[in-house]
Amino acid sequence: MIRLQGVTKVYDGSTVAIREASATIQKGEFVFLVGPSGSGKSTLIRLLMREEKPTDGEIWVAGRNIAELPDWKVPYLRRSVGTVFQDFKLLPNKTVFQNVAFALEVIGRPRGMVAQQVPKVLKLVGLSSKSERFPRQLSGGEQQRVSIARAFVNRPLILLADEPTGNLDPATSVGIMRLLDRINRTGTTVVMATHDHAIVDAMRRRVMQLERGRIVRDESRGVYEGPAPAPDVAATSPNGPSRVQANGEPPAPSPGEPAESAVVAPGEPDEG
Amino acid sequence: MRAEYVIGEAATNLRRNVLLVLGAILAVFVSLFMTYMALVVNEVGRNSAARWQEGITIIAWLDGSDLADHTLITNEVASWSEVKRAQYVGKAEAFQEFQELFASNPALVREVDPNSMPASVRVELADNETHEAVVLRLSGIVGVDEVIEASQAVEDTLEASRILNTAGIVLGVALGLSAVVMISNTVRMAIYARREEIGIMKLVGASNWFVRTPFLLEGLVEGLIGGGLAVLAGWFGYRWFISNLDLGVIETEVAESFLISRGIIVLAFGAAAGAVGSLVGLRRHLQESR
Repeated sequence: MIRLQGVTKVYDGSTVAIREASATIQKGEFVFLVGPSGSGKSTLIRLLMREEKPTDGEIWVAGRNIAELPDWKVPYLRRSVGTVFQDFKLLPNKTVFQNVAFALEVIGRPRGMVAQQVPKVLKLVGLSSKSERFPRQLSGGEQQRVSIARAFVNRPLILLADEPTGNLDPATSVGIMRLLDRINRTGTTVVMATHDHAIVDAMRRRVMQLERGRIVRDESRGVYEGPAPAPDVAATSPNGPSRVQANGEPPAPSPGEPAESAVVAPGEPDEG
Repeated sequence: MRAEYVIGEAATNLRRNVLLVLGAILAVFVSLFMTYMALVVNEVGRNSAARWQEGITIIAWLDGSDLADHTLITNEVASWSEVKRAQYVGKAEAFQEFQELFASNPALVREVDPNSMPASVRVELADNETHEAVVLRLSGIVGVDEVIEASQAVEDTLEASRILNTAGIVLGVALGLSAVVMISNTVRMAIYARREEIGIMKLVGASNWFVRTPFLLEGLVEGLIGGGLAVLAGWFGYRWFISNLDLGVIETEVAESFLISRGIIVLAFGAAAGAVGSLVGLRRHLQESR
């Protein structure tokens, strides 16, 4: 579904945000991108949605090398890649329903489809009763649910989430993670950049750790804090660990698992 | 759905910045009004020039219809040393000229018998000092019915129309440029007001043209309204002008079909100004779109 090959991103000719990153993410996987601020998590997300072009390397998304994708085709890429952000990015003058419907309307989906899909996805995120509310009348968690509904309403192959729980308290974050997990179980590949130790540790999904633009750890059922690799090892063979673990790794969620398994135990998350 | 959306968005854009939009429309209006009037003035000048062409200052109307006589007279006049050029205008040509001149008055044209139009010799002088002498000599020729001369008034008016025409076009172009800039400003403001929405549209994969079309339409509407007002004002202004002012010798009537065809051109200019203005306003946005 996603394959990075020697991806490097340099800003303004000097700031190296991503350094020779290589990894493969299978369809249906759930991947956490972790690492300190400035380690390149957000840049990686932006590269995957073609908000940025890599300076070097190839990024294969759904069978296309998006590093080479002509500008005018980017909208069509975006239709198969949903995005969720820390700051929700909802339109304040539109209702919940309108915010979600907007995503379908502006890509020219027929009215009938909008009328059918929007209530469905609002039900999925648990906001059916609040479809006529405006974003300012909702809590942060509810707003993020709307934003997820908007990203998912077009049934994307991939959902990218950049710190989706960054503005939310731990209990609310758990609800958002449950929702993302449910979406992942429909077969959607989820890539989520996060700082939240508790969530990563509770979910036990694939973890890719970035450090100064390099993928320094890639574990299939990882936790936030991994054994830090010796700096000299990272410098000499930066892609070693990620290659080994990325290739041929089966998708993390097995289809037989019950949908409501408590991947995140409520009440358990404690900060740091 | 799509058309509905685009029109709705453009209408919202126009409403949000009423003052700026009115300013842009006014700029288009003034620019195109000047252009339209310059075109009309040019046509008035051209009509008059059909008779008083560049340099021709004397017309000798001829008697009868004997072509041989006419040729003799023309050749004789042409041989005079004071005369630079003598041009014969036959009955058929005279009638054609008459038709052009009075195209706006078909009833009059219908009533005139082509045969009743007099032939004439049109004279351009080598030296304007000899004007009176030549008029006298022409009047003395047997077969010349009447000699008329371009008055100073005609010359002055033609000169004035040329200047007005040039000034009108120059001003029209200058104001047209400012109109384009103003339209691009309103479009830029509208984009700024909608930057959040545009950001989300791009996020969810709206095609570039879907994002841009409302803004293009906004500029187009501004240009068309400005152009439409210019045509209306030009039309009624001109009607008022010819019914209230008499310039005497100068034929100020122009054909209705001329006013209509040039009006359409002016409207097209308005639309073009709107489209160019929008594209200029969208330029940065176009570059940004990835």
